[in-house]
Amino acid sequence: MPAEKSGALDHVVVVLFENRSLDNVLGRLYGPDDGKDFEGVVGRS
Amino acid sequence: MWAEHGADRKVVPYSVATDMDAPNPDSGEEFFHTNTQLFNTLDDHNRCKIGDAVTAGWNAPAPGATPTMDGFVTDYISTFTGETGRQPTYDEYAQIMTGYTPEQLPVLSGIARDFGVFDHWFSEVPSQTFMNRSFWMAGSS
Repeated sequence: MPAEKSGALDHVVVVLFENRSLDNVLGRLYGPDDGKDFEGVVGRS
Repeated sequence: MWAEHGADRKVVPYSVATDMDAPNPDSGEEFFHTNTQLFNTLDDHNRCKIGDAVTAGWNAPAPGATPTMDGFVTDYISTFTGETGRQPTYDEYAQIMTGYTPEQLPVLSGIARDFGVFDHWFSEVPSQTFMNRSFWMAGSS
C-alpha cells in the first residue's frame, strides 16, 4: 500500500473489558437487516 | 446436562439479560473453568469445586480436541454450586446465556456504532486476567 497521509490513522483507541464476550455486550448491535457483516446473536438463536 | 433443576429443558437458549449485574455470581475465570466452557469437559472430582479445591486433571480436553463452545452452562452450574453451596435454579444458571441490548447499553453501543468492532475472539491462552492483560500490552503472555 503506498504511503498516503490523508488516509492514515490518527488514533487507535483500545478499550479493555474483562469477563465479557461480544455476544454478551454487543451481540445485538447489528442484525441481519442492518447491512453489516457482523456475527452477533440476532437471527442465530 | 446434570442440573437438578430444569434439566428436562435440555438446552438453555440465548436470552436478554434481565439484570444489569448478570451473571451473579460471576462466572468461573481460571483456566480449568475455560476448559469446561470451551470443551464441555468437567472432571468428576472437580464438579462443583472452585478455586484451590480444583485439582489435577484441570478439566482438560483430550489432546487435539476441537473446542465445541458448549460448556458454558455446565461450568456455570458447577461454579454457582461451588460458590453458594446449592444447585442453581434454571433462571439462575440461564443467566450465563444472556446478553444485553443496545438499549440497555446506550453508551457502549453508541461508541461501537462509530468504530470498527471485532466480532471474533482469538487467544492462545483463553483464561483470566493476567494473561489477557499481558497479551493486550505485549502481544504475548
